[in-house]
Amino acid sequence: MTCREYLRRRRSFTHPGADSWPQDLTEHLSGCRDCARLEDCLGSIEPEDIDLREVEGRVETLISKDLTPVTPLPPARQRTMRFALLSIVVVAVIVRGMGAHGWERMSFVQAYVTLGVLAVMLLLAVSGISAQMVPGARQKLSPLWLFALCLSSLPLLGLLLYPFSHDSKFAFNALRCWAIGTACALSVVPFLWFLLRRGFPLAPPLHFATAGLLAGINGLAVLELHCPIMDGLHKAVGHGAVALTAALAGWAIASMRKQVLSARETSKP
Amino acid sequence: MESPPNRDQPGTAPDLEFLMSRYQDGDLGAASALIRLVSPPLYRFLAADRTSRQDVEDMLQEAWLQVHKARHTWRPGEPLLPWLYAIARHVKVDSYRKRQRISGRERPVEFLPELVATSAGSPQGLHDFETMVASLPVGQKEVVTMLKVTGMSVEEVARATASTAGAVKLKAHRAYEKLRRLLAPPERSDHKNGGSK
Repeated sequence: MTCREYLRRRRSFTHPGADSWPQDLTEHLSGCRDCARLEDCLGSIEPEDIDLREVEGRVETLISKDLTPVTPLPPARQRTMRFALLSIVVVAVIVRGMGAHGWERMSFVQAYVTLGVLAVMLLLAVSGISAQMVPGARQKLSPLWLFALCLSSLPLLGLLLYPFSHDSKFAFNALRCWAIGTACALSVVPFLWFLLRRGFPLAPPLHFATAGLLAGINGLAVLELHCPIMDGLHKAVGHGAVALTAALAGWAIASMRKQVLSARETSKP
Repeated sequence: MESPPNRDQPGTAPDLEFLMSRYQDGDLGAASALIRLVSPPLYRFLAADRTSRQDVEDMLQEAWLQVHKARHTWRPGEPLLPWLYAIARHVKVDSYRKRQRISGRERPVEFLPELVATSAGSPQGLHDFETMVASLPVGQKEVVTMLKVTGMSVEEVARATASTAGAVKLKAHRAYEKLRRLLAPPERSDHKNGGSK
């Protein structure tokens, strides 16, 4: 075994004394001074006598002032389902009120592919935001991929699945749809806040942006089902912009809030 | 340190998850026991950047206050350490950014603050862990410190750092390679990778 192979394998284990430490790594160590020197360094952690009684005492005093029993958050799956159910109910209620003219004009393939893509976007967004509520929770998808997939999939779908037609009122119609979609996204916000209020996100700008994205997906879903304009460019721009705007708005609100809080903190004597 | 032993085993160390569960129920004794058990490795994790002792103690206190505020977000049955160290890491990053923001207003002082001490009693010539790890980039230092000081598994470190197990292993691998190069005697420091046993 070469040292490179040793280092590659070594990274999956804690230390040579552990039960799971492989025999071949031990054999390599017995014959390699450099790797043995590395293990000596990694193993040179001694339990220090750090006197933390003062800090610990302060912490105990502070927390004892409001130490009350708390109810843990629901499991991740339950939280995810609540977000998904909220989205489905809100979209269903709004589309019922406004009419599903878009759905009626779609072909079989357009309808079910659009629905499938919307479902995947929703699932990704609700999983992401549910995980962000808990520090150290397992994230199935990195935020970069989450936003990239959710923001690009429906515009791409619009360009690929729907024909292009010349529309003299393209800008007006796109803006109108964007306004309707944004209003629908805003209508979800109070309910989202209610579900998110007990979370403890470690990155509030990301969390708010994801909440915005989820609200935007709701608005986008309403547009896809309601809007009777079957033009690919209209869907990509007028509808696709809703999720992007909502995500950016969420991020902007969180950033401003963070700046205000930082300014208050640094201005304290 | 492997994962905490089951509380049902007699004579074993207290189960951190059990203490945390009791803490959620409002048990001050359990909260105090948890603080005393976890503070030393948490302190060492926060002190890895060689900041002043006062700053590290402030971060430690802040970390516990954040843990207190967030205690309802941990679910019994889930591993405690990734949750706890994710909060501590967030406090550390926030504290670093705050120090950067106010560093422009600092003025020279006559006496330097007390820095976090290195391991006492290390034999002469033995490269102690903290000294060597201090030379690593931030991401690698964080991963190696969590793996070695807290004893968390690769998966747990991945959760605490909002990363993947593969990324953690890669950082650990690079850190070990660098440490190995730094530890090599001067006459062999030209060798980048040992090719033999």
